[in-house]
Amino acid sequence: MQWNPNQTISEYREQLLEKKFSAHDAIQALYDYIEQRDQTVHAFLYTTKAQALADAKQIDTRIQEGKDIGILGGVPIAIKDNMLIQGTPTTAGSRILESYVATYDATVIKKLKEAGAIIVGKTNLDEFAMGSSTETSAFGPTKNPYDETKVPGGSSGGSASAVAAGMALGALGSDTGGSIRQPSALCGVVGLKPTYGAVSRYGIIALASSLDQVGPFARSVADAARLLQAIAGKDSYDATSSEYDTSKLLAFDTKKARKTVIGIPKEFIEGKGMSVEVKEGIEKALDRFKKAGYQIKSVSLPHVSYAVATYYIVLPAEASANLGRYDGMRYSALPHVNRSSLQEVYNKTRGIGFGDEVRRRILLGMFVLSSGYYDAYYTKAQKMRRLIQQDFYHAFKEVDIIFSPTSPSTAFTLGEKTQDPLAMYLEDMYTIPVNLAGLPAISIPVEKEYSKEHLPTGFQLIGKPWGEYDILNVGNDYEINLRNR
Amino acid sequence: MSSIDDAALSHLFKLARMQEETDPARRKKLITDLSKILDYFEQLQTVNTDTVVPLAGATELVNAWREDESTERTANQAATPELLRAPFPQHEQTHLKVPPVFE
Repeated sequence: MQWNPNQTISEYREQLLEKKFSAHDAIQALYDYIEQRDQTVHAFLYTTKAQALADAKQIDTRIQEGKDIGILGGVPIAIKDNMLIQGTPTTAGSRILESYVATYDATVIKKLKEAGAIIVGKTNLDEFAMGSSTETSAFGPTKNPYDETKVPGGSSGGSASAVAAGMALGALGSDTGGSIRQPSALCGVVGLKPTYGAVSRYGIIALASSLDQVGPFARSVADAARLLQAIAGKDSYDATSSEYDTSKLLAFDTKKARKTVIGIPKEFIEGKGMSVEVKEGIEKALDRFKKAGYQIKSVSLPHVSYAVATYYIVLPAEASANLGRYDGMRYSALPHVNRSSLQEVYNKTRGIGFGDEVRRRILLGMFVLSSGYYDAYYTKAQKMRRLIQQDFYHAFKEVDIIFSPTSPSTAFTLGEKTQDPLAMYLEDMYTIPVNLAGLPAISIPVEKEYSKEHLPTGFQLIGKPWGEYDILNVGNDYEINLRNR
Repeated sequence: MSSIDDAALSHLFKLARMQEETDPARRKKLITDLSKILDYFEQLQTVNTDTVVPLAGATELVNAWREDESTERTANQAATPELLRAPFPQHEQTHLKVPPVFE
């Protein structure tokens, strides 16, 4: 059989359960396709074919026996390479973890396996998820499937491009400042960052612990909801995770959706830095919402313009602490490091093992946390974080969800922003405030189809804490009823 | 408010337990980039935050306590001592070997 790269999880599952094909044949066909397609896209750092084919056989047996196969039974899913799968390499896109093999399963992996998912492989990312283009990966950049001279966005660029090119039907990424939503927008897929605490972080390589959250990439809003259903919930190994009632996530209701009041932050819409293509895209999406009868209200988020500066103090502070554990001891050693003293091992391993962007952020973290600067930078940023969160809470007194662009531009050319860290940081100006406030948000492609001549743009719907259903429900209405008009 | 010079950069490398960059051009670029980012932070000083309580995380959670008791772990979430030891460059029986800490 030939792999169909343009199907959703729902479509695939329907055919699988009707026995139009076996899971084994489908997964074999998928790998044949990946071997061709990924030669140029480079979404995967490695694949787990033997295990995937064995898992597919088990799904086939269950189907034959008439047993339940789980909500993701037989569905091929790609995993960002900062999530642990026992017995498989996990690099976080860094040389420092080049030979590390994970010792246990992350809770999200355990949950995906329980739901019957087939794990296809591990996807490329910016080193330790630090970046917005997947270019800081120590293993070479991923390309945008629509135009291979462009970036896929980042840091979860491998997961986004794998789903966009149909090399997986869904994927997991992590989002600390936009790392799921921005690549989703640039690759024309759906990406969801859940409320902080909705999904366990156990077994995820930590970047900034107060901001990191795992979420899905998918080809439809319904598929994203199904993936969230599989991974959300309280985990005793992550004390910040919470109970989550996922039973109604897929209960889409258009009538209910259209009663939603959508807030438009004037700071986002009037702000500078948005490209012509993005501006056109979001105006079109907004117009469709208006015509469908949605009530649109202008709101103000007065401190949101300080979010990028706030984030780049909070993030390096937390990241420099989290990355302190890479000492050339616990997570495998680098070759050619003189092991004459412990200090020497630390210095050499970290000096050679970390790339430029990681090094820059660790040094920045050291600076903002150092004696004499701590209050002026770190405490100040924590205070700004509260003001930004309060802005959202005030806005949510008047509106149900908030609409914005996802990223300020469409996919940019490889190498275009690598020499200017600040320009790269501003890529996440619309997504960062959401992480600082701990809110859920989804990026949805404005149009159904894109091409090399017409690169994808996305819009973002931001929900109240634990309001995933609201943004999924409105997003689903847009995708099913408004976009195809 | 503050900037980074060559001596300050050396100090940061030391704090980070990271071998210093020795290439002069790359060092200069690092200083320029870090200084530009610090300049960008200056905008925060225009906001009066005297009465604002710092926010460390997005949840309203306070410390989550649990009993200190051993629990049964499911198969793949159990990292056995053998598995945890495996990535270490050197070990002897159940002990991990590291280079000397004191000279």
